[in-house]
Amino acid sequence: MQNELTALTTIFTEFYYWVTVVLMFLIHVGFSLYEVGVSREKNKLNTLMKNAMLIPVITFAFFFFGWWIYFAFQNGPGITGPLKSAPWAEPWNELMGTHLGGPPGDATALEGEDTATWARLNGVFWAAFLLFSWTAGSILSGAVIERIRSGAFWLLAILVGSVTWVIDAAWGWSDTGWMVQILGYHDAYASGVIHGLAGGSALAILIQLGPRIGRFRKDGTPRIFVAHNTWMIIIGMFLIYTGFWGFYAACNIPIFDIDPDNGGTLFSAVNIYLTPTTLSAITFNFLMSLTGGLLIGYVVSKGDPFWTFQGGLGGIITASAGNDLYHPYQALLIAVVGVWCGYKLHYWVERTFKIDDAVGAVAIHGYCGTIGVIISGFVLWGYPSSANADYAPITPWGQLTGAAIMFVGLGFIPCFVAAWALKKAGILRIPWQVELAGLDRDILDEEAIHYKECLAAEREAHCHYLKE
Amino acid sequence: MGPTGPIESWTLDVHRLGPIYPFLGWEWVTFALSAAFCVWFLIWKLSTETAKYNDLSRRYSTGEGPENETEEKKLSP
Repeated sequence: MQNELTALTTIFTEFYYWVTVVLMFLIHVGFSLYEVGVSREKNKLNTLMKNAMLIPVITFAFFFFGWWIYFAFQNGPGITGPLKSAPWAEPWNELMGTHLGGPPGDATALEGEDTATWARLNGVFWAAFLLFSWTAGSILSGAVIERIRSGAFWLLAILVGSVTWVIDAAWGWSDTGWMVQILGYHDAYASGVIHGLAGGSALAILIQLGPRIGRFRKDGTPRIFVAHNTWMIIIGMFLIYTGFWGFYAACNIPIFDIDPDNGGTLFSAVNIYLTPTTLSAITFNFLMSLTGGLLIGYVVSKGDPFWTFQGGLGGIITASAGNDLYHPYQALLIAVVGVWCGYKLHYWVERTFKIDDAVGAVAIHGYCGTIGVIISGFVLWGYPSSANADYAPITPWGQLTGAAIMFVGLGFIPCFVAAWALKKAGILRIPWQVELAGLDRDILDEEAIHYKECLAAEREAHCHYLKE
Repeated sequence: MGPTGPIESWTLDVHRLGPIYPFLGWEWVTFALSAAFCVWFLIWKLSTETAKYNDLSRRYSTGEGPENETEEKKLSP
């Protein structure tokens, strides 16, 4: 780094992302607690392991090819240009390891600018995106509990966490993505990019998977499967809120010169499209959209804790597409609209199509996220989508097309096909005998044997001491 | 024996330092080993899971298996 300002900016940015990654880990803790809390007593250990093990499974896939896809696929490829070169993201590249930023050797495709930039930022940027990947996987995980096989789920989690969401991020959540260039797509905090896509993916898997045994009565009305631990759900949701705050921070670059062309220097936070916002603004909007979501969630569910907390999350998700620019009142009102629609859609879809979404993930992530992207097209109509004046501005039709690409094109369709293939191979769903007995039954059997053996050993020891 | 990586002393020109991890140039090999391990994990999981569920569904269908105290039994009168 040539001077003190560059050094301070780079190392502050490195540290900033490092902190956001730690905060975002709480999203996964929250999802685990939430999902295990919702499951029934007989399935809780399996539910925990299915969710927890998506961490290593998505991580290796994201290291091997997910990170490279993000840079390489920004043109489509074939829509606005060819596959892009991104040597720093190749899994065997020297910048994917400990590197001090010196000039590259002759035998590498790297340039001096690559090593200077990525030596200190590659790992923390990679981790920030990886945590988004875990979130996408966790959204699926909650919806499908108590009947999916873990192995099949992890394959689907790799598909969503390290392929489809990364492609949509390359297309619509990067400063040169083709959707930003042509559609003027704007989704600052990933309403559609993560939540819409993961919701569409979850819906497709749920259709192939079918409902849990006993979920629907003969007349088609749903039975409520009582959660085994309400407190785990509530604490989990609070942790998701906390981690989501870290996610908001991670979606920004904290120090960036937004006036390089006019000879001046004006540093600001910028979003993923390199257009300016402030951490102050997104803090206002994060909390106001949480507020709107909690209030309408409480109203529409008549004070049900599950849907009230879900409403808070859905409120943030709905407003996220434009929370870099909205006024806080707009964030609040948009959250209200999104959560109301998401809640109503959830029950309509559940009763009409017999979709058993155990945690309401399709509603809160899929419907709210998609609705949020569409609403932002109207509210931010005419705003520039990028600092590049040649790119299309934000429009309702651009956002509508973008939302459809996220929910249907990259969310629903790939997972529908993949889950169909897994179903055909007979490895998607657990056998009905296991479902009825409970996924933890074999573990409980084993524990019962050991428990009885220990009791017998203790009794034997007791008799022995009495004789002495 | 010399060092396993490019660093023999920290008193060199640090401005020229690039990668400093050991076994530089072996990235392809370690990548292949790591990828093979991860793919093996997935195959192992899918195959053992299938065998496990086949066994469990047979046992639960025939009522075979150790006596246990599942939640259902604990709750039953």
